[in-house]
Amino acid sequence: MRYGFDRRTVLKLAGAGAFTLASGLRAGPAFADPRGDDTLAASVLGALPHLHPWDYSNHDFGALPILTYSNLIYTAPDGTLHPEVAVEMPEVTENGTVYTFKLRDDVRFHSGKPLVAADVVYSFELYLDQGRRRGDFRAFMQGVEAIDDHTVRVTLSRPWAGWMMYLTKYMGLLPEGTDHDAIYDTIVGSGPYKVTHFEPDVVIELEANEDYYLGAPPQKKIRLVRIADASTQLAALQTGQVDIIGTCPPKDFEPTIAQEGFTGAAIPGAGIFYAPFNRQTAPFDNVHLRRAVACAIDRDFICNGAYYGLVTPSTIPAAPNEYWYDEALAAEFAYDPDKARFHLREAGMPNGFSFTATVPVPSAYVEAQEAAIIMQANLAAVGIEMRIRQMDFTSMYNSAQAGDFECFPHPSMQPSIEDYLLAQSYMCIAGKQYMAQPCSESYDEALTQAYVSFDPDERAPHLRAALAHLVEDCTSVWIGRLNTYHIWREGIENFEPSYMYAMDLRRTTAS
Amino acid sequence: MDLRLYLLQRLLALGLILVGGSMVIFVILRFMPGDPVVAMLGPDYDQAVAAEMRERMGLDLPLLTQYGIWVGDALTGDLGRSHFLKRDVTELLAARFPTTLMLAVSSLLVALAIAIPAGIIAAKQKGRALDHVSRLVALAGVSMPNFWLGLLLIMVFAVNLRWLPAGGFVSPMVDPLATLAHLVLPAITLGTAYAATITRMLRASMVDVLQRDYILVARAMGLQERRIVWHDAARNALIPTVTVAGFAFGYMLAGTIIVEVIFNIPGVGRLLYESILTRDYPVVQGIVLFNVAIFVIVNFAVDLIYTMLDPRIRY
Repeated sequence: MRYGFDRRTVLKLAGAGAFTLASGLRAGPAFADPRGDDTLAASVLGALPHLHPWDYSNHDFGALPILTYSNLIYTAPDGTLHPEVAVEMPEVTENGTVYTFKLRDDVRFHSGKPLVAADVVYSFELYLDQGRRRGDFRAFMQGVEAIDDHTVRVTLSRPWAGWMMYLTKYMGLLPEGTDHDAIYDTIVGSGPYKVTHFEPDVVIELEANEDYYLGAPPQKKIRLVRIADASTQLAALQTGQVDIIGTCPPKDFEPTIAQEGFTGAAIPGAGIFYAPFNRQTAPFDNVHLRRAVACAIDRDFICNGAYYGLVTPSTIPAAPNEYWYDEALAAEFAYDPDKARFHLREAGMPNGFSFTATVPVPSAYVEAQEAAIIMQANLAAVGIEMRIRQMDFTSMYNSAQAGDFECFPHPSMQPSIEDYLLAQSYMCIAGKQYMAQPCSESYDEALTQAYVSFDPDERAPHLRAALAHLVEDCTSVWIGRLNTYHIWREGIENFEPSYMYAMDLRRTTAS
Repeated sequence: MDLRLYLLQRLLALGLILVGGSMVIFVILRFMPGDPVVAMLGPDYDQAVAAEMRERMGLDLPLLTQYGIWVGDALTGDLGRSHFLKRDVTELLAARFPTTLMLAVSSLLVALAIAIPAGIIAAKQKGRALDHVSRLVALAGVSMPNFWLGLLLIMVFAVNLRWLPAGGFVSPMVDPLATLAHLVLPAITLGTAYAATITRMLRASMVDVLQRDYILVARAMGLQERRIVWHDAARNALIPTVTVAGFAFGYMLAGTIIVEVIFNIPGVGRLLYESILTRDYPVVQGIVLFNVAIFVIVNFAVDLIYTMLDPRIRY
């Protein structure tokens, strides 16, 4: 008598095993992603390298500090400022340099320690000493002092209301005495969520802070997942592994939200697609050549054809829906090949000229090469030859700092367009002129007036005056504003894309 | 040769290869365009802050000094600290390598499961339709880019059929069945290309073996054809195939970058990809050095497997 398995028995067992396994695998998404019903899963394209609230350069990461830290003021998804740890918006002196914040008395850190003025002062001092954007802060912040336990005074060296836009994006209030290096691994904030699990650059799991001073958040658990590929991110949404995605390939946005079970939205955010000229060297030291290029570009085709409507076309830095947009100024550089030819004649180059455009590879947010190729074709139609020089993005930034470029078409995400880009690139007193941009006193004057107040009505005329300078000098080809866009599944409530780009999930719920 | 002497030789070779590899990767990274400080600070970085960071990260030191410090630390098991993830490279490798190993092993199993029967059947049916089909499929497998096949599989099996997850990874300690489900599509993606290579290798060597005299003798003695093919011929034909499979496994361990990115698997490949983009020198150097060591060790293991397959081989 023989014992053991013959070949047929082995094959039968293998077949049965495979069938059992296949039956299990068919369970699908719920099986694929073992998370509870009370978890909202959102994925981001950018890295989630650590837990530090301000030491990051990718804007997706901002979703984490929004959930875990508090600030004096926060920026709502629509771009408006609201008090957070402050009881109300600050009192500002007439010259716009002294801000006095009254603090709430019911704010507690996750550790249970009450948040007082000394913590605010310590957080700012630590930031000025070690923060990633400390150079920017040092340039305008003269001092931060505690008047009493619940009053803080911030003194600026010059008016700049836009500094408060920084807070949601680049700050976070810490308990006094916190070790800077410790906050890479631990959350010590006072925000609506606490971190329960963290795998660097893979996943961050959070649970609601029931003692949150603005009321316990409606969603009990949130899971932030890092998915580095846009197509995979979309597939994860379609299979139910995540509920909200940060971005997707632009061509897939409209078809996906047209499908049953999905919703999406896009708004012009604090990002911009533009091509600064190096005005310090030929050929773009000639304003007519700059204008010729600006008038020859078909922005509608770039934004709607190449980027499927996810870049909002605009010939000036302001988006058409914004309070400081100026239609007359925008008309100056509307697509008009005849006007481009006129400027070529004015420049004494009726047959055109050549220049090199430096294009980042790969680009963030949208691929710059696609716009560059269309620009090349538009310019060729009026006799201008645009050569494309592709460059790694970090080398490109070094070239931009060194002024080693002629024209630099690229997408860029900013903390704010009117409060950051306009100041940092073009002001004499604040700017880094990192795009080799010369500055002018009258431009500085207009912006300084705008920065005295954070009231849009008071700011608008001064911002338009500054815009007039940018248009007159034709500093850049402004292509359009990058839209913040998201897709989410049915059942997600209270979610909208944010002006600041990073997801704001504080009020969002999943059912 | 004495096995101990052979082992000593291989260890010496491993040391030399690691030294060479460390120099090459160090020099290539430093001469590659890009700047880790700019990658961390962003486009409109402050020059003074950038200078402070370069000094803190030791990037302002002469290259030779930087290399000396890195190698000195590496000899004590310290591969440095990630600029970007703020963690020790060894800790990152320890966390990520098991995932990559699981992916590579599954991919190798997929490759062998396809290649062994396909190669043997193709050789046995040499010149007939089945042989042509197998060679055509092998050619298609070699030619098909990983990223395309991966996306296609996600589209069909995850998005449309909903049979399998689109990506991600679940630890077997949490849910072994979920681990398996998450590995199926990436393993097929990675395994298919190598299956094609192994199939072609095995077919060629089987064709050669099936023409040998001892196979003729076996047939003349009236042995069953199945036994001749699967037992007598296949065993000998597998020796060169093991070399190819060994290389393939080494490549799978070191070359999972695209598959890990597409399937969002948090392994060493994805870590390497991110670290190259952010110019995270310590991590890239550490991973490359680790991969060199793995490759040498896998090939050494292949040499040892030879002796098991063919007792005539001695070292």
